[in-house]
Amino acid sequence: MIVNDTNIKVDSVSFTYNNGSIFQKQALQDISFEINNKDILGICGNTGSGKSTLIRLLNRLIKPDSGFVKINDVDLSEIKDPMEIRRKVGIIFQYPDNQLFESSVKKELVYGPLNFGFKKREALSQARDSLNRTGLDYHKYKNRNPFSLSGGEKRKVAIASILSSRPEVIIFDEPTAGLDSNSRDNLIELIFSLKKEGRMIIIISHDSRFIDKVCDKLLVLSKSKQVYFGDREEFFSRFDKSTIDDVGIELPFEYKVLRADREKNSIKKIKEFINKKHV
Amino acid sequence: MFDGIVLGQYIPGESFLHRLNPITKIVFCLFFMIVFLFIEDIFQLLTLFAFVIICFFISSLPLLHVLKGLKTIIFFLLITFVMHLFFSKEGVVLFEYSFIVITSKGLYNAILIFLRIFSIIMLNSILTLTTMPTDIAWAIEKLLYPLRLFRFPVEDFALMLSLSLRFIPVLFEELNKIIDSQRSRGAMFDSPSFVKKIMAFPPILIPLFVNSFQRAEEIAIAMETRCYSGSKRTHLNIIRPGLIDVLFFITFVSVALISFYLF
Repeated sequence: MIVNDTNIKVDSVSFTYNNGSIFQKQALQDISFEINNKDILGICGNTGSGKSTLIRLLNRLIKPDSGFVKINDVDLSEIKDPMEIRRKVGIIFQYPDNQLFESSVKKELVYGPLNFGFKKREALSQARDSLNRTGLDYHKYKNRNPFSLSGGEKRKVAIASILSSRPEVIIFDEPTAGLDSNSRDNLIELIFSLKKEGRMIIIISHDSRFIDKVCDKLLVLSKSKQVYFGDREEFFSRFDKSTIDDVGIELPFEYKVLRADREKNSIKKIKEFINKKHV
Repeated sequence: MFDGIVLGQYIPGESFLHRLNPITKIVFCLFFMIVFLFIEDIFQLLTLFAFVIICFFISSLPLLHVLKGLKTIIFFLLITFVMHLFFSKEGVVLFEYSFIVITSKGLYNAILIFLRIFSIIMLNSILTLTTMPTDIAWAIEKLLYPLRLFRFPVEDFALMLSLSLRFIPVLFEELNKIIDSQRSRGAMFDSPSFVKKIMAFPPILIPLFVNSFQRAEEIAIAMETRCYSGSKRTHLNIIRPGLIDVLFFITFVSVALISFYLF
């Protein structure tokens, strides 16, 4: 299935938890960005910087205190039925243990599609395709108890359970946590194939190597504020190094070399300049 | 979904009540709870209720926040109030319209029951909101010490209690995460249909129980690897009763006695 153009516009969004109570905590302040399905967006930032709150807003699990979130130019707060949004935007949360509850993998996979009103036959065929895409054989796993699976397998079932609803926007929350290198490569392949289908991909990750390999655009948050939004390469190659360290991102190796080279060259140039003056 | 609940929450502060020894606070709560249950005179009850309210203001807890957290309980209390008001037929008739009859005894009982339960709830809120859960567990451990004579495992019981109290906020946080992940897969928890509401429970409860058991097992293993043995435990911070505890103890006993002798 090829999805047509999808775009998300977040404009001056702010959100505070427990607003008005003594436990109130500002989670997002004046966040703005725009993205379409041609680019994969990576969201980075320290723990508590507001990444998870932002994805909850995109799925309308919460509503912004100010500003708006638009998907395909439709303001999410104007949509009466949140199911309409959740059918479009699927979130693959970090901990699969927080969602698995059915007695078999098959039932787990069709839970979402059936809730969203897909017919049983359609839901089953989507469940089969989705699990196969994650690298687990549907016929081998369909009757297994999700609780008896390994951590990596649980994560794949959780991914498949979202893909089976065929969302236009797929948000991955820390997708590489606990994955071995093979599973990681498979995940990268899966993400690219989803992008090829026209699905919009948003990834929250601390893994800078993974972000560098997969994402085109980058949104960096720190202490609930937006530090950067733009080209991923530009951020890694040009952005102030101390700020990158502050937001808890390790510069990928290639960029460390690039920056060191640049520094070396500029020192060389300065030395040449000084030498010329002396001469 | 469960953000407003004040259960198991501790609000840090520097008030007189925050500084009281947790044992004093627990004894005070137990004593007043028993007194509240046995009082039948509304003036005695009002005197003690006033004392509880004074304690609440001394504790400098945010009134609105606490009331917001207790709104469900207050709702049920109001139902009890209305039931007593309309279904007690004894005493002088104060108001009568069609089948609605309000009698003096009904009004008296309604106020009595409301104040009694509300005071008990406020007392417990003061205790839990001004005392850290670990301090409550420590105080209960100390209060249960005499039971060691009967070979009751006081230390293990106290540890179970402190772990339970400690994990209430963690469980609520986890519960919210589970609800979010199921809602994003189309689960409807706010559906008006009763059947749909019931059907929405397993997707929340099963992951919550599984995670809790897993966590309990991990904690048990982590404790065993650090050679946990209940009876040999010592405490990092030892809380000793001070002059303020003695003063407070004298005050609350005096208030109770005065309310009994005056009315």
